[in-house]
Amino acid sequence: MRAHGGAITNANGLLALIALDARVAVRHRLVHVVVVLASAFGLLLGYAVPDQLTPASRDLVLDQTPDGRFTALVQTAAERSEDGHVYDDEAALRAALAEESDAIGIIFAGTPQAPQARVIRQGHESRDRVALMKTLTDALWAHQGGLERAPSHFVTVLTPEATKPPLGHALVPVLFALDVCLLGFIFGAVMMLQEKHSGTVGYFRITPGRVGAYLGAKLAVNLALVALNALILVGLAGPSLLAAPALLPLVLLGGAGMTLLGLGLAVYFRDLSSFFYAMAAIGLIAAVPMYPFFNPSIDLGWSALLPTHQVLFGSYAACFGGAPELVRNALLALAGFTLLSAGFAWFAVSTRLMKEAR
Amino acid sequence: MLAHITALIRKDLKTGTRDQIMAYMLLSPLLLGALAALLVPLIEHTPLMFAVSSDLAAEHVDALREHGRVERLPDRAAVIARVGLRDDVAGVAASSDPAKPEVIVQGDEILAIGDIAGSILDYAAHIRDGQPVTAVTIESLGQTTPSVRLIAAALLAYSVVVMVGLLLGFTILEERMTGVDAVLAVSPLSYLGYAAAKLLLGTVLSLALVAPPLLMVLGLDLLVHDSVSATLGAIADLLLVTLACLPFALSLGLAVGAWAKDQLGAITIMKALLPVWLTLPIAGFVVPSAWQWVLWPLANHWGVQAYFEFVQGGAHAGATWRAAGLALVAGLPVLAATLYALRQKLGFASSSA
Repeated sequence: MRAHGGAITNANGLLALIALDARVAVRHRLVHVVVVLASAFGLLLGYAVPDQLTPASRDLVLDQTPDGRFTALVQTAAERSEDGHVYDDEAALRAALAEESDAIGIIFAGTPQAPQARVIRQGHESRDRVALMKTLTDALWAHQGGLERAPSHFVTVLTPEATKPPLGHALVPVLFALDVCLLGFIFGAVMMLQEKHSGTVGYFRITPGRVGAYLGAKLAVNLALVALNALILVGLAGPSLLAAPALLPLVLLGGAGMTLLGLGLAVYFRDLSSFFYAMAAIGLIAAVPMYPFFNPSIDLGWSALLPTHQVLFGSYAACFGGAPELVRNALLALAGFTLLSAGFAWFAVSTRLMKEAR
Repeated sequence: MLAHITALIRKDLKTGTRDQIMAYMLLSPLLLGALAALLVPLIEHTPLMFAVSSDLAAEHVDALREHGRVERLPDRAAVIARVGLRDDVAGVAASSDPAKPEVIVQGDEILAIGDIAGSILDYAAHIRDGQPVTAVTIESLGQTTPSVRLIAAALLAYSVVVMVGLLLGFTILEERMTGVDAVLAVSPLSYLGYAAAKLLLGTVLSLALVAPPLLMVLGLDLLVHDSVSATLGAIADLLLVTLACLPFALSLGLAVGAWAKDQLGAITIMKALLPVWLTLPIAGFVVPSAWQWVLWPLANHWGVQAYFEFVQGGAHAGATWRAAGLALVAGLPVLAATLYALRQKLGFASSSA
């Protein structure tokens, strides 16, 4: 009976602390900022980001063959350019190259019996890019100039109907890992730093509250912000992604672990300015999985230990039909990380923060 | 007045040293510069990727390696698995005809990586077989810095000035949280002197801190030239561009000082406004020229463009000063409004009334 009464007291205490922390979040406009930024990013991903990014470099083409074999190619290059300019003399092409530091110029000349071309490059291109210019210019001459050549290879297309997810959707997991998961880490830590500075922690010590309620309240409020952020972001960027059942659990588990990590770390810092180093370092480390995400051949196996890696790759798999084991393993890894963070936060708050308050 | 200003600057420096703000201020630009110097080469020289099976003939592997990075995998199945990952990689595996390898693609590649791999294999085969190929001559214009590095440098330089502004904001916040603002409001120090001290400190720190990270990313050639006068001229140009960027860049920190009641308030304002201050200028490099006018009212757009034109060298001097002038003109009203708000919030307005 007494245990039951104690549980009710604890639950009431937790609810009271949640209400207090929620009031702090509202009073400091954390909710407003989350809504505005999530809406801005959601609209950006949903409506402004192009479906796919094409390589940025531009080829300026000039045809100096006697029979104008490359007229069609010159027109295509002009149509792809912003100004639609057709270059009919070398001086104009060189002037344009001087203005565009990523463009290269290709001047086709000669005849099918003796094909020639000049490539004018900027000078900063790597050795393999220069080799590629030579090879592809020859291929262009052969293809566009009408040379008969038998291919020395054959092509197998594994999934002819395959399409990449739109870039705006593909970037949702990136924002989950880089922004949404770090939200609780930053806000939770600064909430605690604020309370340390204002002396609220001292008052907490003489109330019947427990460490669990103290951490639980901050965790609940920050998780609500994480959920709000994730729902607005996905709702605007790609509502269809919400059909993936594992998506929200992944981001909530990642957010919970990161919030508890922030709360535990904040115990050891005096104020926001000193916490900045930790914030910047954790932010940079958390961003490491972006590299294997965009360039999978890079061997950064250790980055799988990072929670942001699990959120990124797990939510990508959940959204875009990846292996179910990948999603399940990500959920398990994030659950483990959250438990570890909870243990660390509990230890830091009970052994240091509450003792400091005495 | 001057004594008051120098006393306040001394106080800020002392507080900054005690609270690690100064160390953060001095180290952060260098850390950012080092990070950019490490990361930018990875972006600007992203090679083409080819995944090849271990039984592919050496002549094919060598041809592909000349044009990109080759990842050797045990067999065709491993190549297929690699091609299935989310980046654009062409797989190449040996076939029953050793002279005719198989190029494997997923089918959703943005870049025509399969065609490129095929062209490389064809070109090498034509040369091996003694067939005629196009006589290609390659001429270099002598430009050694890719635009991505110049853009990164321009954004970095502007970020440093914004960071200095944020640190000013923290000193103001510290004054509020320790009650120093109330003391200052009733001291002989006028608001003009207070604002001058903050802006002077911000200006000196920005001018001192903006060059090191730029040199880390772009090299000494940016400022060090053959003659002393050219070197001094380049340094003076950089300082003038930085001065033009100051009004808007510092305004973010002053806004933190004006509106943040405590640390949580500061982080909220930073979270809300940092993307506006630091991310919007990226649009100047990606928005099509027909839509660039949307960015014209933004002082940070012009500030980053001024740094971008400056790092491109002397030929861009006219564009540099036009962008710097617009950064100054667009930034001054924002600075004036922020300073006015700061005056109201700090209590100078009521005490002088």
